[in-house]
Amino acid sequence: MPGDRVHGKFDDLGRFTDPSVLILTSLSDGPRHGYAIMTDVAAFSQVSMEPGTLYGALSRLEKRGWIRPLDTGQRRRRYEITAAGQAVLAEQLTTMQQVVRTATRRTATDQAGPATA
Amino acid sequence: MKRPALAARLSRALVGCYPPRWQQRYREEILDVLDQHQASARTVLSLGGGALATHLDPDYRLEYPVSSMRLRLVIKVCSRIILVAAAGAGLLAGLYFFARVIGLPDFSWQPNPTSGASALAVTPDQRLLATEVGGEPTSALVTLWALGPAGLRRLSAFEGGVTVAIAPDGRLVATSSFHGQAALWNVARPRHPALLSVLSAGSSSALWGEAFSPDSKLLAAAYGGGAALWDVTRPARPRLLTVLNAHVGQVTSSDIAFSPDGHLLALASGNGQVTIWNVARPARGRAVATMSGPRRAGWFTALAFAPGGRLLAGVTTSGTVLVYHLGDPARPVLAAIRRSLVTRALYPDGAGATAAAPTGCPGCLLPGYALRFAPGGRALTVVMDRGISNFYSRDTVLTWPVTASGALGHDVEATRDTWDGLPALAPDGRTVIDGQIFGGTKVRLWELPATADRAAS
Repeated sequence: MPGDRVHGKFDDLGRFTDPSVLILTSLSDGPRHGYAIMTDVAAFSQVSMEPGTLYGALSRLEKRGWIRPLDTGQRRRRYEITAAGQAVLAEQLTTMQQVVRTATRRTATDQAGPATA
Repeated sequence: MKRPALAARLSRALVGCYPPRWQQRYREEILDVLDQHQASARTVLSLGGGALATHLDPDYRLEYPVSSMRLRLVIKVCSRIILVAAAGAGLLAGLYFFARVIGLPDFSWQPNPTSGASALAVTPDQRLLATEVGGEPTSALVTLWALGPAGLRRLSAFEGGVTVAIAPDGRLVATSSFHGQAALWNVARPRHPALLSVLSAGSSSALWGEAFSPDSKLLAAAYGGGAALWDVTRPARPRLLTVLNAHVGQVTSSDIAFSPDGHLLALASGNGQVTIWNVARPARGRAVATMSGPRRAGWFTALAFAPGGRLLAGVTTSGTVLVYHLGDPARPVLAAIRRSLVTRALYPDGAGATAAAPTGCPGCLLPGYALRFAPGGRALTVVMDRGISNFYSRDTVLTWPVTASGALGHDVEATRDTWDGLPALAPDGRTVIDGQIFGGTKVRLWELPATADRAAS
């Protein structure tokens, strides 16, 4: 199952799993440099990402080929998401949507009272 | 962190802690981010954690091949140590479970001092005495005593069995292990004895005697048909030099002795014989002579070399004393003999004029014997301890003047009633040591009276 494969890859990212999703999401809107990614992530998710975390995740995403650097030689280098990165992000979002749907349904059931046989 | 400037400086410094190759790629970018970012304690922690994680990243660890190899080696060694420790702990736990829950025989040392003394040994300087009580390897008790003007002082006790010898330098005691092999104990600190090694010579017969060479470097451990010679200069790692095989029958209670120069070893080897071995080159020890006592004299139960090494005296179970002249050790000459002296060891009522135990004392053992030359070599003393009852006996002590050729003059006799015991003579040739055969670990000393001195003077 492709989803399992993607999860496996994301699991390898360890503590950078969540920042990776946020970074890929940010880059889905177009290429950004490091500080722009931090401000964008903070704007759409209210997550305040620190530079150490950001560049830990960026280096891993780049190594896996899910993002690539632009503006070679520039101090303020931008990154763009690759096709592989988009596929991985899509798989991850699918899983997250499934989690959200399940959690929403179960929360609604709890509010309506316990199910009866 | 209350000072943002400090956090910013720390953050920038931490960027320099990343692996060099990582810095080549990301340093300028991350510094650009830090220029725009309000640094805080979280920023510092984030960069510190990131630097550490990057150093542990396999891609960047390859930059330090030597450290990596060392790290792997350390991890490999540590994991093996942990594995072995875990296996050992599991094995011990298993053995404990079987021994305690399933009920295997109890192999622990259970001293049983009621069965009495079976061996005594004294250092040449007469400062340390070792006594062995019990006789069975799993229940015997070796006790160390300090010998001084004030008498005996008990120093320590430890497990042993059957036999005991103490090195002339007073640093080692040889006794036997639970499995009947020779065992060496460090008694350099006599209040804190410690087992050093167990010496297995591969003999299936029982250990019956041990003796250290005068320089304390060799140990002779006597088994049924011979003796094993060990180099004990490194007592924790003794080295078997040779096995002297006498090809004779089993002996039950006998003796083994080194000559004062350590070149000869006399071994009472059963069938009433004494074999003399040349052990000047211990690894190539060879028998040079065998002497037989008179018929019906019994077997040799105690042996002693004269201080010069040219005389060897022995006493048999019937109380026959023989002195050999060893001008040529390969051709010993019988220089003197005194037959069946046990008949001199009379009971207080005058009974006991035969070698057999008198009626009324069926449990009495064969007499215990000890013999020793006086320090100058001009007198020979024999102690015969003969039981009166199961608990009391009489020591009869005979002292002869000895000539250089080994001839004996007229004896002087001394007696003392004591408990039924195992006698020994201290190196001064005047102090008699009695260990209890029945009933305990006690030791009693007595000085030979002045009349005995006259024979030696």
